[in-house]
Amino acid sequence: MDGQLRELLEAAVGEPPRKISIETVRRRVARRRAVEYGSGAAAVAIIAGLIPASIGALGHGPATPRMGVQGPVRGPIAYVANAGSGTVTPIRTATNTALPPVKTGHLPQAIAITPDGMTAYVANTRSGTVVPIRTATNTALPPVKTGPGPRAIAITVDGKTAYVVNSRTVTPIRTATNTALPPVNVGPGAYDIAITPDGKTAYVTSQNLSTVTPIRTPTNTALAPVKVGRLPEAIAITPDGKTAYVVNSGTVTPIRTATNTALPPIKTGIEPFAIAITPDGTTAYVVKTASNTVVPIQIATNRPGKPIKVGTDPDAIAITPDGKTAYVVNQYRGTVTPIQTATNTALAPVKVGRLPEAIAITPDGKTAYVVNTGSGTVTPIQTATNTALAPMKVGRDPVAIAITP
Amino acid sequence: MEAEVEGFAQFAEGRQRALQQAAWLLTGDWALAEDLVQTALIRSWPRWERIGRRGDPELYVRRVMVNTWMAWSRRRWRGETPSMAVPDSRAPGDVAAEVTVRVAVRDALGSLTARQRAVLVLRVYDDLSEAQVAQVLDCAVGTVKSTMARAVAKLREDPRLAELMDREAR
Repeated sequence: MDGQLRELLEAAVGEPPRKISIETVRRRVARRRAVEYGSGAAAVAIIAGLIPASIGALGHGPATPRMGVQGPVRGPIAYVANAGSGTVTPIRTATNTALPPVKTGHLPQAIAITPDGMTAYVANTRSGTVVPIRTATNTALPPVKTGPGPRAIAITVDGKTAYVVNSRTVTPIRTATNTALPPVNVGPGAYDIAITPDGKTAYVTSQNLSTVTPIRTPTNTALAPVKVGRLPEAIAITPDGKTAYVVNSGTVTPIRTATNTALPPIKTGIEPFAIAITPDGTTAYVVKTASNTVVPIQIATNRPGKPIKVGTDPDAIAITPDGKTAYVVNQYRGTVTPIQTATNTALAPVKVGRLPEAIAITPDGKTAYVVNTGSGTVTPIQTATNTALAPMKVGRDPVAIAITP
Repeated sequence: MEAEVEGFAQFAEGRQRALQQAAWLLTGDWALAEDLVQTALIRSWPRWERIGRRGDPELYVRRVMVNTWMAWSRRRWRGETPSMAVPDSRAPGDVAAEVTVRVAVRDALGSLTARQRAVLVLRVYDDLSEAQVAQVLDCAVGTVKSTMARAVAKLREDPRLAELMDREAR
């Protein structure tokens, strides 16, 4: 078997289409050293800012401030998608108790909750379905068939439509009836989605084509794709809806939403990954995984500030609703670094579980919930004192979290 | 310092093709493979002198590469992306058959978890011993064995791959 397998693997591997430029590697190493030793902030290439309209859930998403809608009386519920168990664990945030898991499907890895807090939509990547969960009873409704490989969801502010990003299409779902509308083609390697605050346009990144496709939501028609940088990943839109920011491999491309034109890319250096904007829309925080830093960007000028050193392999960020603290999850260290946004200083890291990769903050801003993918737990952090409370057991490989309003 | 830089540049120049190929088996996508190798090289370069003194530098770089890939996958199961465009192929010979193999292998690998995929590539393609794989992934030898067994069992379930292997066995 091994010998045969080896032959097959060798037969399957082709020639790399491009040679890696060692000179580029050399330059990037030099740039990284400059960052690490603090000697050349000017050499640090940087980013712009954004706020994901997708509510919660994705590893890179900040906790989006909710609309002023009353949630269920028993207080907010956090929903944690357990990719390895095929379940979602509801957590009562008032008491920090994990409720019995709800079965969803294979490889759930994205959740979004309607603005009224009544329904959580869970994308099951391997099943090709989205399962709505009634939050009042924590019961799963019948799965809605999507395209293959759904991996991201965003819901319009009016709560009427959930947009599900599949591997090359987007499936709109009418939330009133939980019926799927015809898929909209966006190209291979579709990855992330953000919807403008007015709900009129959804922007979807396509990694393979290096494009962002705007979708007009009233008619669900795709407009001409906008060319961005290589491997576009996260996308988010400013609170005023004027600009969408796309995090590519090494750059960030701002897109003017009025005309759907790309502005010149902002160089960031390798592996910018997560991004979050303060609720007042003044500063974007960009997490640079490879250099273990977070860079604050003044949105008005798109100018980067001094990089803030955090832990090893930071990969998720969330900002409190009052905008005073940004929490950065350091995957390899198993810690969370709070950053005071007023001074952009990092506070002492808070120890959480193994390989944390997602974070969400309650609407009242009092508690941050950190999803420890490696431990299968969720650690609440009291934001007033930055102390970790006892972790709660959830399912296997939890990867995403969203909290009801 | 200069010697260190030259040593690394030479290594990177000489091994980048092989590294990219292993990275493709991990990611199933050339653009991602390129990014992965680049990231691994960038992470390894500053430690090059120490790595050289410690023994096998290539093993170290592969270790960085595999662990970077696992971290990327943990983030969002990027590897889950089902087969997309048919990959480019410029090789001579039976192009159709070659593409069939490529797509079948890539899809089959895509059904594995990141760890299973990493173990398979390290053990079968890079031909490391179980002990070396355990060292690279920082886990027990028993874990390597069980992960490998699960990976192989899963690949056997793939009808296209099974057919190709039968064909080769004949």
